[in-house]
Amino acid sequence: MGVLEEKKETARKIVTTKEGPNLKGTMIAVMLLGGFIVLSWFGVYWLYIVRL
Amino acid sequence: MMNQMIVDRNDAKLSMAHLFIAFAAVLLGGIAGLLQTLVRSGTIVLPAGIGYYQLLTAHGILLALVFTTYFIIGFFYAGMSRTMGKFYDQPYRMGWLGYIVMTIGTVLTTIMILLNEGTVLYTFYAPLKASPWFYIGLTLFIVGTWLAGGAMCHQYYIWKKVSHKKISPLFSFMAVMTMVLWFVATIGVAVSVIFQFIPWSFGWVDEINILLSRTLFWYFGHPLVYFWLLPAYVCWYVIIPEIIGGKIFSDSLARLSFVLFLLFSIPVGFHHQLLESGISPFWKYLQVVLTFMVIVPSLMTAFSLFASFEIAGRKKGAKGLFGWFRALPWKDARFFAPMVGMLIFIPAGAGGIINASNQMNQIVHNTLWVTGHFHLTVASSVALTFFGIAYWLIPHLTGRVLTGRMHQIANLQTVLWAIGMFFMSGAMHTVGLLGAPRRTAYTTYQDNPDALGWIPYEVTMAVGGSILFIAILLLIYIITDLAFFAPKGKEDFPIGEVAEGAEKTPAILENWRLWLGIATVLILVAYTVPVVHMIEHAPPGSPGYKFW
Ligand code: HEM
Ligand SMILES: [Cu+2]
Repeated sequence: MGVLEEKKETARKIVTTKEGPNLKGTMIAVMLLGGFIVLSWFGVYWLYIVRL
Repeated sequence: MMNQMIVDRNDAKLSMAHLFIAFAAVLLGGIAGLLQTLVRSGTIVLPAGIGYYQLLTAHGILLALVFTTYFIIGFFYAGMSRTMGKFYDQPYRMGWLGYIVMTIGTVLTTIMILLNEGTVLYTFYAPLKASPWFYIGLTLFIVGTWLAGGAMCHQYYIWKKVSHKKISPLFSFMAVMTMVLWFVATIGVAVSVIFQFIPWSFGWVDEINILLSRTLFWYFGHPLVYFWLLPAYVCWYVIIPEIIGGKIFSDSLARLSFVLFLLFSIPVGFHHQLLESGISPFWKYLQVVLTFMVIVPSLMTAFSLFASFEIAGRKKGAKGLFGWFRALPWKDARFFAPMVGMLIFIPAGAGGIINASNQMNQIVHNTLWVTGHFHLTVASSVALTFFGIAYWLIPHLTGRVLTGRMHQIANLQTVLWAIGMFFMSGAMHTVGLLGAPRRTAYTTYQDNPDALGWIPYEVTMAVGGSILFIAILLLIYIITDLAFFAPKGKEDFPIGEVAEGAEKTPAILENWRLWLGIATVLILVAYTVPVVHMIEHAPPGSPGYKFW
């Protein structure tokens, strides 16, 4: 591989790195996870309040 | 190629020696667990003068200490040998020495429990007083683990010197980090056992400072749960991506999360003592805040895992928002067991945040909710992950293969475990919210209506416990087969590779002085003032009691 091609190769790599893979599902999944944690927390907090 | 693809034969023997004891402990502890659920629900009465609390002590120690610790050390030896190469002579010998010392300690402690001289539960809270030999057994056990940790650190040190590399293989880094966490954590319990419990149980001193002993215990007790969890994370971060045909999302993120666990899992023991008098609210508050910091690396882990799954699934052509989830290799036992463990970690983690919240701790403290909680964390997320590791690790080490039929049986094991735990842990959580206490043999509290209302849940626990016990028998069948009878062959030791284009790992993540320094500062900030207070203004000391 010539020097020029090598440079092009790295350039292309950097571009793909910047775009990043498609992680939409991951995003939604972690949001659901966070929502679940918050909901269960408030569930028990509600118990605490009514038993005060 | 930097990696050796196969674990060295001698290292394999060292590793297998640990795994055998680990699974023997699962069988014995499982029998105790089943009996406990049957007693609590009023189904049976224990024969031959065996006490409920004697069983419960055996169950806690065999499963939470013996199974976990032996498995973890065996797994780490194998993985370090696989990623850094054969153990050098000196650490290798130290590894065997550690094994012998640990095992003498385990046997001694077990004998004392069987003799009914150590019925103080696995947390051995004062003022319950066991025979001194119970505590000496525990001490030997801990010293043995130090030798094991020493062997791993030594191996790592030599490897770095010989290879001139700044960054070690991810698996080995994580193993060493876990053992470093263990060193720092066990100092607390060692101090308490050597300077408080042993002199007191021999009768050299009459009284014990209970508050101090509990504080030293929980200084150790919380990082203990991370000592169980981090090896499972090693599997989730390093091994699962390879099994699903994907890549490790980011080496730096994985290392950073382990660093954060070292920093934030120790100065937080007070969240187990929120209802302990004698510790001022400010210090409890501070440690609760530090506890909540652990949520950061936990969510980092969740993100990173989902990302590995999604990338792997999309590479295989999965479409839509969640198509990648279906594209995962659900039929592969090496994936299925740890994956069910990960999914169970979602409610388990949510429950943990509830436990650590000061006000809500008052609802759940010392109820069966807590028991339900850690049967999700350690007894499901961690245990299923360890089982999933054993399914390929044992044949790898013994030169056999995990056959297609065994994959099916192992998946059945996982399903039974999940169902049994759904009933047992679900009932424990619910009845705990209704107020049923943990660590209590069968009683109706003189037919108090509230207490009578708990009994159906306790029966549900027994149903779940019975299903779990069948799952344990199945597990033992699989393990025995893989160790002695499965067809000869070559089973892979999967180690993931880092995704292309991921950032290069900065060397600072492997700067031990820096991280240990910060950890020490945090520990000193969180503990110095309250501990000095406990010693200077010590509550009246207590003599020992034997209620069993
Ligand atoms: C057959 C499976 C199992 C069954 C039926 C079972 C059942 C039980 C029951 C009924 C209790 C005590 C309830 C009480 O507080 O009175 C208990 C406690 C406990 N279990 Fe399990 N368990 C099982 C598996 C496990 C596993 C795999 C682990 C850990 C890896 C584990 C760790 C513990 C611990 C640490 C305690 C607390 C002991 C104490 O409070 O001193 N269990 N279990
Ligand atoms: Cu904790």
